[in-house]
Amino acid sequence: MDQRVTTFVQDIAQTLVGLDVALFYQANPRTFDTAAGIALRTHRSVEMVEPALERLAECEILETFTRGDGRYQCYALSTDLEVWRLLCLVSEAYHDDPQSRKQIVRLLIERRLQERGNGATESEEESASNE
Amino acid sequence: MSKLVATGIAGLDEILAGGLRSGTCTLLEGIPGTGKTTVGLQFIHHGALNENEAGLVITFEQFPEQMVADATRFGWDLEALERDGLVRLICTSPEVFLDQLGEVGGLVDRLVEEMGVSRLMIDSASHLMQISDDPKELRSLFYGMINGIKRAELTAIITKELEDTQPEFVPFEEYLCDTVIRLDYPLAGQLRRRRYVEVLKARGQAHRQGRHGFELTSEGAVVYPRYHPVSREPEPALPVGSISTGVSGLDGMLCGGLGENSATLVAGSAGVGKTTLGLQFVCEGARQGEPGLLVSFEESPAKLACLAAGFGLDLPQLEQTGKLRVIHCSPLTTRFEQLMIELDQAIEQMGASRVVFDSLTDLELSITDSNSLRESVYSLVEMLNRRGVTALLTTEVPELFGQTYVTSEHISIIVDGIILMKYLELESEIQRAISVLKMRGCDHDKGIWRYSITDRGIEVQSRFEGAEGVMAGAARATTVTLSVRSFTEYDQQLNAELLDRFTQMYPNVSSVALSIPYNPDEVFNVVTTAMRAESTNLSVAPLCLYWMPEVIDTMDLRPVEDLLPPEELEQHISDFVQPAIRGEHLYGVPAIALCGVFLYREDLLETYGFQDPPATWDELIEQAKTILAGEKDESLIGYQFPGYLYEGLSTSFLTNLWSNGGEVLEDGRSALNSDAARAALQFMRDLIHVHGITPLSVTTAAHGLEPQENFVQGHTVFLSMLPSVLQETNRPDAAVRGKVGIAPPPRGPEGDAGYTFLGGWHYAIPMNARAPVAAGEFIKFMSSHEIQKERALRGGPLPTIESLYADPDVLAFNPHYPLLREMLRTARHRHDIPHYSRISQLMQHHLHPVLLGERDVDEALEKLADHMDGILAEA
Repeated sequence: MDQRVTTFVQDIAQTLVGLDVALFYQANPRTFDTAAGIALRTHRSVEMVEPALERLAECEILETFTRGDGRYQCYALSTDLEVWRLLCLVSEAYHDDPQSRKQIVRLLIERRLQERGNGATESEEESASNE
Repeated sequence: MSKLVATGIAGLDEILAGGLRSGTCTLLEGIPGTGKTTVGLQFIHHGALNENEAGLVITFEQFPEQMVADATRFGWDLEALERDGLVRLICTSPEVFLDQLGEVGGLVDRLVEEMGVSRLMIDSASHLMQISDDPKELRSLFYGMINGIKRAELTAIITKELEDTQPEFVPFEEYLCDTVIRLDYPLAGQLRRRRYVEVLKARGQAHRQGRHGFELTSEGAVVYPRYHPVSREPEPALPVGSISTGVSGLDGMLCGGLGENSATLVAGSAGVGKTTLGLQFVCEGARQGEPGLLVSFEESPAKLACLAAGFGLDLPQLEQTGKLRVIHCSPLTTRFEQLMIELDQAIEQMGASRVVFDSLTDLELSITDSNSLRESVYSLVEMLNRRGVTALLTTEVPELFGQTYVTSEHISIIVDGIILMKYLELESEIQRAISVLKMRGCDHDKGIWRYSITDRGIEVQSRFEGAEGVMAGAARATTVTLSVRSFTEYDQQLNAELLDRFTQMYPNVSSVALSIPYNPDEVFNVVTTAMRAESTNLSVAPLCLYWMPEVIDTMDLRPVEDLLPPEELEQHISDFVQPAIRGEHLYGVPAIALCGVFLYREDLLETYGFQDPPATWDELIEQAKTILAGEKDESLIGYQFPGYLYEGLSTSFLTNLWSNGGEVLEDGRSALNSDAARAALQFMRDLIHVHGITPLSVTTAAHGLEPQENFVQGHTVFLSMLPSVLQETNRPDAAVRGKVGIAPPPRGPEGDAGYTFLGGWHYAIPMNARAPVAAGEFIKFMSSHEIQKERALRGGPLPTIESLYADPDVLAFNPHYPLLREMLRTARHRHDIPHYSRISQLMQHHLHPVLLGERDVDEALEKLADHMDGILAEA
């Protein structure tokens, strides 16, 4: 598997929800929505989606737009072409290569187990177990 | 008014009179699957691609990627347009969009500024309704959104899902949006659905109301606007029959053909020949250089070509020359609105003046709502009328036999004419019948006609006679009245007997009129007047030989060769058959032969020692004077001949002219200003005014019968008349019974022999005869060998059948027949003289004053010759 994918999974997405959101934006790059909207479209809870969105924004995968005089925040895919290329790489590995997909999931589970030892949140544990 | 923004959907823009008003919001509503998103995307795609107007697509539910993929089905590359900055698709939440729309410098403002977005599609308004449960709040939100869109000067299409196409209440969105377009997708019949579009509202702009056809094709949405009638100024005049149907018999029933620019319904059961008639109609037009269109639902072009080839019509060749086009469409896949547009365009492109629509029955399948069939047919007829074409619309009636309902949707009042074709059972046989039920502006034939389909197509044959209830499917025999005119009064009694017998043989013929003027000129007037008036009452027309050619050449008679097989026709004396032939057709059946005869009193000639009748004029004068002097009977007349103003005067003069070596014409000019003619006329004049053997009363015998009566009563020695006098002289009570001889007319000093004139009567059937079949039977009967022999045996007029002149039975009663046959053989032909009727009238006009002693012979003949030359030159 491409090292860039491994790095993205381990350092940026970090969780299965984070990977979900990243892959959602790769599939729907025209999305401009709030955490609640993204949660609805990815069928996750807002509580699970919002930290993932924040993390992706922090890593400049997504752009944030504070709207309504600060009442809410919208997320959109970064217009940086390198970001788009990276997400396409991740998407290919996850969707088109079963071995890579297994590796990705394993990386995320390992990370979750590590974080459990470090006091991972209950919701993230549930999410990981669902996967 | 703000400018119009084309949707790119041609038919929709037509309905909207150009497009959507710029800066307005359009609610596009419909149940799932009607094509709302496709229409919205087409609006955005068209703007970006063709109008250089950037568009924004906001989707609340469907992901843009799916939209992009779906768009490729229609050949729309939205991604490319996105890359070019002309399209932007955004998936977001309704709340975000509403907020962003209202925010200064928000998403919408930014896109308007950056991309110059002017078109917006929101898919869909239904998701906005999820924001709140409070109707007031929802209305307020929606109102705000509309205003936000308008403030941004966007032209927007907002889709909305409908749960029911007939909501009980009107949703507030319809009030708030400027335009409301509804897409519908109802069931057509039990198996199919058809799409429709309707503009329910278009604030501030004209639009075409009602439902219009709508389809999703490989190139996107297509709208087929319903035909929009346009008033015609001035209104066209009522149609007149001038467009041939290609079936001559039917044209005859239609006053010459279909009315120009008319629509005629051809109703009939399956297989009765409706399509064949349609083919003949368009091919006849093509033959005359009039392009035609044939809309066929059932028959493919190949099948039609095959069918037409069976009738000698080359459809592919006509198509190649652009004179004919076949539009073939399936009633299952074609929608009426689409067909109307195609037909309208095809008519314009090829300049079609004839259209066949085959059939309205199939059209019903193309129309989802049976209630709209009538409206559709009305639109079709209106369009065809506006295009100035003459149309045949076929429709199938379900009943093969019996009572027929032409149309079930009151279509009959929409069309100008109705032709009914149907099967009927008559005389244990399936026959085909055609009738014109209606034809505006035409006094069409009201009869029911028998027709067949031959290798020449439809051929109308004869009227159904002797039957009624034919079209109701319950044919039963009835009586037919023949308006037949008999020949003479001499054999009236005999005719009456024969006609009684005919009626017994043909009980369908209830009565026959027997009256006929003695004067053949009057018969000519009766016959020609009836035929000019296209009277149907004259079923059998008696034609006198001397004017028969004129009638055949100028009037419309039915060919009658079918009445006489060739072997029967050959039995008739050729001199009577030939004048009735034109080309391959026989137009009159010979029935009676005539020639002028010279009758004399054998007893008186014997008494005064004259062994032979007079052979010359001088001998006639001598014998008459001798007998008159010897008899000393003041009532006895020497010689009588027809001398009044009628054809008899002409024949008297011609007899003497020809018997003195004279001719009427020479080198195409009058030969009457000649010595022979002067001598002939002088002879006739002197018989009255010099020799005193002919009374002046011959010039006033109004009906021509007085000289004959005088002779029969024994008061005349010599008489020039017709052979029918012999019938009268053989009456039991006749004073001269057994005392009469006949001879050729006496010759003049310059003549080599006495020549009489040939005459006779034929029977013919006028084209408009009401009962041509019965007339044909009557003619066969009256001209048959059997009847002619019976008439001959009973002293009737001369037969036209050669063998009867040598028949032993006939000769036993008519010993003079061989002489009469010889006289017929040498008799001269008046009908060979061009324009004889007019020349004869001229002769009567100029010669009569001479016989009265009021005009000089030379002067009369000189003027007669001049006038004759005038007629000949004029002709």
